[in-house]
Amino acid sequence: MNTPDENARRKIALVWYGGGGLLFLFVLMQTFFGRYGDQPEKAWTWLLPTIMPTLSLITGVLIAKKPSENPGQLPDPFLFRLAMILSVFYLLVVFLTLLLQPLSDLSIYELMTKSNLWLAPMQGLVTASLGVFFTQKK
Amino acid sequence: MKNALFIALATVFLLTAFSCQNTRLLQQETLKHKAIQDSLINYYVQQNEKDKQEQNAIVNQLILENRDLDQKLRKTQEQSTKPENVNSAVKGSSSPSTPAFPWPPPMASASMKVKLTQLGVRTPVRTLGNISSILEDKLDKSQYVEKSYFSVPGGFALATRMERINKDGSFRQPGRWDLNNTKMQSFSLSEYVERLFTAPKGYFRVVVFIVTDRSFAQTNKAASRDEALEWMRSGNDKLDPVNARLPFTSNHQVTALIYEFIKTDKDNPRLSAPSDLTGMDHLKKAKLIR
Repeated sequence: MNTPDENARRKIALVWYGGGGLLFLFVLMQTFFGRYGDQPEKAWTWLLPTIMPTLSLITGVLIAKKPSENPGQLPDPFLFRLAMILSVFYLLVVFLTLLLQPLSDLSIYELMTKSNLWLAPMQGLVTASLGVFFTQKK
Repeated sequence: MKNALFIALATVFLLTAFSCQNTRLLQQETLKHKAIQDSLINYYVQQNEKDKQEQNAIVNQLILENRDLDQKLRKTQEQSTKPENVNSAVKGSSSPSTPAFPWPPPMASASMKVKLTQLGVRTPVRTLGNISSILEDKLDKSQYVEKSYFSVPGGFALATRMERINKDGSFRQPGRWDLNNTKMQSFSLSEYVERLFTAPKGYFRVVVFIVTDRSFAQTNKAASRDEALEWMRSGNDKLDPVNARLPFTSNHQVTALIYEFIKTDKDNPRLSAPSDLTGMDHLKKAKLIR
């Protein structure tokens, strides 16, 4: 039976695997349908650094984390909510960057380059909050 | 008695002498008057001739000045109408002041020989000026308000400004003349999904009408988008009077050359040759023929 601590971690992992997986599939379909023409590497070199560091962190922590010393105790609810809200918001913004491009004046490549302006600081906050959440000691 | 006779003879002599003197004086006076009259006449004649010469000199000077001005004016006009960037010179062009269209014309996406009836012409066309007016009228009705005239051997070429079109050749509204904007003009789910998963394309078109009595073939060289844009800038705004007065004969034909360019996200605009549409489709969608 999973402890509340593990449940919280798994919820966040589910959000990230679900969101990251959808993004991955979406860009994969775009590549297959020729959205990126003969330059798909530009799209993938934008997507992979956007989601992979956080997914790698979550995967590594889930595999390596020892069971909690106090299995019945909930993790810090504030940290959990903060990490969850920031993760969902970040993944939504990444999705919106792709979904709103047809309505924009900018080409997809221009938008990907410019999106680093807002995605990079957000990714920093998300990674920090997740790092604290996964490594907190009770 | 002798005395009386002597007195009488003396009186007669004196009277005769007096009258002779008078006659002589009269003659002298007459001669004097005549001389004065002659000299006056000569004087007036001379004055008159002088005036005439002066007048002629002034007239000649004015004529010379006028000629100089005329020559200067012609030179200025020639310089101002001289094309700055003409792709290739047309030999035997009837109007040196009109820029020459590249000849033979570059490869087009589609073409069509246009009959006068398709242009809605009912009255006989007598001159190239007439046919240019008909074409201008047609173009104006389709909102092609910017046009550019070139000379070609045996006639003229009339190019339209580059416009943005839909894939089916119809006008892209709004944004028909906005060549740089690639975003969706109005939301359509099918177009949105298409743009989401396929590279968005922009379609552009330039129509060039060629009116000439000579046969021609297109070259194998594709025109670039920049060249097509340059046509709008380098041509004249109206048909020159020399060409306009030339007769439109039965040998003359109106040919429409369609230059269609496609731009994708990853590409520079390139000529679509051959176009997916025929020349007739393009002209019908542009509302230029019936």
